[in-house]
Amino acid sequence: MLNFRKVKPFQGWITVALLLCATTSVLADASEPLIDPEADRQALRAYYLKRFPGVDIQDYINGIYALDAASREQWQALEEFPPYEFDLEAGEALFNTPFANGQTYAACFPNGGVSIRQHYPYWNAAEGRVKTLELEINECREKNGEQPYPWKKGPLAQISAYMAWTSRGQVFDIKVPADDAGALAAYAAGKRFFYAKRGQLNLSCANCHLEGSNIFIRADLPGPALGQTTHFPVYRSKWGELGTLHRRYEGCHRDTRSDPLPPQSDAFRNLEYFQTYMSNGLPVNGPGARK
Amino acid sequence: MNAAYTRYLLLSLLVFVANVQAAEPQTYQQAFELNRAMYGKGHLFTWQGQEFSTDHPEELDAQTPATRDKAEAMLHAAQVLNQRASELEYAWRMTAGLLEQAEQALRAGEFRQCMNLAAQAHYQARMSIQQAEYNQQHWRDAVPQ
Amino acid sequence: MLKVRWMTFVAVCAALLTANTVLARDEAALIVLGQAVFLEQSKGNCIACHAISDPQAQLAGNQGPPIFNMKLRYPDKRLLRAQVWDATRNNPLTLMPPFGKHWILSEHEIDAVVEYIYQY
Ligand code: HEC
Ligand code: HEC
Repeated sequence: MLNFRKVKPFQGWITVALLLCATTSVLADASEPLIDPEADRQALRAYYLKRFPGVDIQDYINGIYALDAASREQWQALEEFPPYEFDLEAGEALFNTPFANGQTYAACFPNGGVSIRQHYPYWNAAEGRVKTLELEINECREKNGEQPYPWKKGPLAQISAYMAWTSRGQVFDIKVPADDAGALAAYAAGKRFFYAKRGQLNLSCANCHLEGSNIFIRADLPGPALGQTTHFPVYRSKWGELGTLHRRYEGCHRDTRSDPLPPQSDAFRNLEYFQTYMSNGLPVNGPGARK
Repeated sequence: MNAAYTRYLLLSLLVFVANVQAAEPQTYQQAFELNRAMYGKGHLFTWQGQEFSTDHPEELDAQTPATRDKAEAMLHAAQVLNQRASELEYAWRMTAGLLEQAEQALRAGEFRQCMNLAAQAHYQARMSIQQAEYNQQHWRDAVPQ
Repeated sequence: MLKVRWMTFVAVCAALLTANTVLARDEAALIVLGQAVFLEQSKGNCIACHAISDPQAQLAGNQGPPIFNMKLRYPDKRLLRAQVWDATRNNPLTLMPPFGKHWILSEHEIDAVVEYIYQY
């Protein structure tokens, strides 16, 4: 009675056959439309231009405060004495302190780690996966014999905040190489994650952050999907501290009543890849402050 | 008042004219869901000349005599199915908790309780897999063009 | 003879009356539960998306339409129940969670919240 999923012994053969067809390009999957990140980005911008005609595209880096005048004022007052100032100082000190082996963070990154935030996350063809800035900060530590930091807050978020700070005003320029099937697949997976409904509440990110943007859920106003990642890491008043983008992803994912995925999982890195590509053309403004 | 709100007010006025009707079900699954949705559980309905109950298969299973073997089997089936939902990265937040409670009930010798909890967990896991498969097919409907 | 008939009449009346008050009490209890389902975050949390003209329902969201005119909108109460059980049947992309289909609420809680909103 309870055996809903029957085992299909020939499924393996079908997959092999399909792969053969695909490699000889006899049978392209007609249901899979072309992956065109640039068209997606233009479509998302067009959606918001039409939905909120008075709002300048560049202002979307300010999230919900770009759309909601009432909370914008409080936020501007908050930004006058930025709550992340202490974290920036701590991040700078951490960044400049050599490891026990005498090496530095600067040596792990292009341009000495300064003014590079706009290139993250990126597709690493050699490793065949999306690399985020946080992932590479911890890799740098491990390479130099140090323990990795926890992903969601604390020193990792502080170093990430400092690196974003040195990149303020640089314009996001995420690349999805059109000739790299792996990069395209990672981008497409991130896009699907954003639009697919999930969890017991059957909500997608898009439900709240596209259709639902600037409409009340109880007392909360979900912000726009466009420019959603430009200001991370973020000092969130509700947390009372600095947190990374994946900490926020985990929270929003849990709110759909999904079993939340861990920070820096494939799914979240691909999601960040998609979302940051959508922010191409907008400036880095991290770290940010939010309610 | 914001635009969405006004839109809904207008919409609500429009629908005075057309109040809600149910579309005819095309498949057994649709017929089952519509009847469950309208009448809840324990209701009988006819589909293509045959009579069916609106109880989920899991609920029917949980009504069979409560024994240790049955409770263990139902719990195991639910755990396996939820494992599959996890592999699809589609497991729901509460399901693991239900499975844990079912396990406790089993240890306490409360077989009926275990069967009821396992039935709910199994149903949720089954729905989450269905959700994953549906969205694999249909997620593009939500993308702005 | 007459006395017996009279007594039967009284007995029947009394039985009917208690049955009625039991029914009324059940319905009142159902509506109390329905209100809790509507308001509480761990239950239906309908108020997150729907305004309703119950003075207890403050700070409602507006992702969904305000709940009013339910009797006119849904002359058949069963179809209102169906909307709460699975809103995706009418609109697969809707924000409204499928409360019955995903077993977010029990069938009894769904009956209760339907009874509660049907007053508005
Ligand atoms: C139930 C509605 C809801 C869903 C579903 C939801 N979010 Fe959110 N999200 C919110 C609200 C409300 C906020 C806080 C307001 C804001 O800043 O947007 C928020 C904030 C965020 C932020 C921080 C924005 C900022 O400016 O700092 C990110 C990033 C985010 N969500 C991503 C996601 C992703 C990715 C998903 C899908 C896994 C998702 N959200 C699903 C409601 C939702
Ligand atoms: C996350 C937001 C959300 C939540 C929570 C929610 N709804 Fe809805 N609801 C909607 C939206 C949006 C619609 C509009 C219909 C559509 O999207 O197809 C709707 C429509 C409705 C309708 C149809 C209204 C009409 O006039 O036809 C009813 C009735 C309803 N909801 C009842 C409820 C009840 C009862 C609950 C709680 C158990 C609830 N909703 C929880 C978003 C929500």
